[in-house]
Amino acid sequence: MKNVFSFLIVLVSLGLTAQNQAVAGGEKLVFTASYNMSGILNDLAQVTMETNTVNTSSSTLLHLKCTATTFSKWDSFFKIRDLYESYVSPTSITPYLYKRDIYEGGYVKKMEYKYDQKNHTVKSTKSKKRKDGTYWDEKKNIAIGANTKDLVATLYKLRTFDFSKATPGKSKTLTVIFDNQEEQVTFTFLGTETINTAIGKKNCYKLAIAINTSDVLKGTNDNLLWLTADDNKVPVYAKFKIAVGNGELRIKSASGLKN
Amino acid sequence: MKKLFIIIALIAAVLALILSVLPLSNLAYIPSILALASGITALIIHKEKPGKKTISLAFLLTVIALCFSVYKSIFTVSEVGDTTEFEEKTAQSVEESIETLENEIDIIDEEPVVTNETETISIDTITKQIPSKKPDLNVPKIPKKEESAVEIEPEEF
Repeated sequence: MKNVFSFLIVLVSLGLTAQNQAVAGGEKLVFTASYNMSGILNDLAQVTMETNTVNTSSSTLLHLKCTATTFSKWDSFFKIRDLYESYVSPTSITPYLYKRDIYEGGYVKKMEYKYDQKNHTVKSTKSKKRKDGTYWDEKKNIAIGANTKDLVATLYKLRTFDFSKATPGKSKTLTVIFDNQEEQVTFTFLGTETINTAIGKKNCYKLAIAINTSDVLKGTNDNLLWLTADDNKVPVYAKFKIAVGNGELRIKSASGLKN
Repeated sequence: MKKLFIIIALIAAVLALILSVLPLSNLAYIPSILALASGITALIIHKEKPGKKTISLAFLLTVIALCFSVYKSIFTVSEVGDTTEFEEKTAQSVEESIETLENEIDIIDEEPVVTNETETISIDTITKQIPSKKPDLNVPKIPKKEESAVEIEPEEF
């Protein structure tokens, strides 16, 4: 009887803190990134979003991995091999470690954030490759807000929100740390929309994204994201306004979904 | 006026040809259409004047560009190139990250992962499993409000 009671207490306490019902380990989403100019689509790269459960000696974390790889036809012109990783709490998506390792047409840059969630600080290490092949490092201690997350963790955190009661026009601002700077990213709920995707016809939540303090992704409703209106809230389509034309991210396949 | 259209047609045809051999072959349709339109216009405006050879050349280049673009859009499948090195780097990064997480990072939010295999057990199911005992055992009854707390509630947007 004691065991049953303790189990109940654990369940109740879990219920008070747990929020993530959308993402679990073993999920893999594959996207095609395209450049759209006057309605003509050009496939540029494959983007994947993967989750895995990672065990350390003391805890279990969720490893969120995003990669961007250019298609072979582009490799000789502008090769991209980008890796973005975040190690987060599986329930609250609180990040503990973030890594960014990018290779974009010869430009190499690495970033690492070691979060101290008790004191709300981040130990940041930035390293860039010089032309002679050597690296220069820059280490910084940055004070962050209690809810500040990296880009990858923010993307997954967005999926944990309950949009079912949201009304069109309602917005939420999340703080994202990128390149050692905190940025306010506002997500505005625009309503629901049914769209055709590679994984079928999906009823989706339509969101507008805007970075308040940056020129990137600026503008009203130019940068849009569609999340499936189910428990998984899978991002199936995204549209971004860029200098000439616009960029698109279309889902190709989805596997290992939680619900 | 005819010269202008011939020049536009020729430039557009060359541009279309260049684009058609590049990975941006889909974009070759735009200058191709422009080259064809300008060439036809030049022909219509002054039928009797010379310059047909240049227009023919523009048409020929445009047709070649279109053939390349159509062929590439039908038969070329977008595939990711060699990622062996990248995958190795990714695997190595995971190993290094685990080491960092073990030694350098204080994880304050240690909770078990909710996986697909995990069964959601409601209070009702558990209480049904508990054998009915006499009241003297004084089993604490959980009020309705706390029962709902067991269901993992996502944060409202």
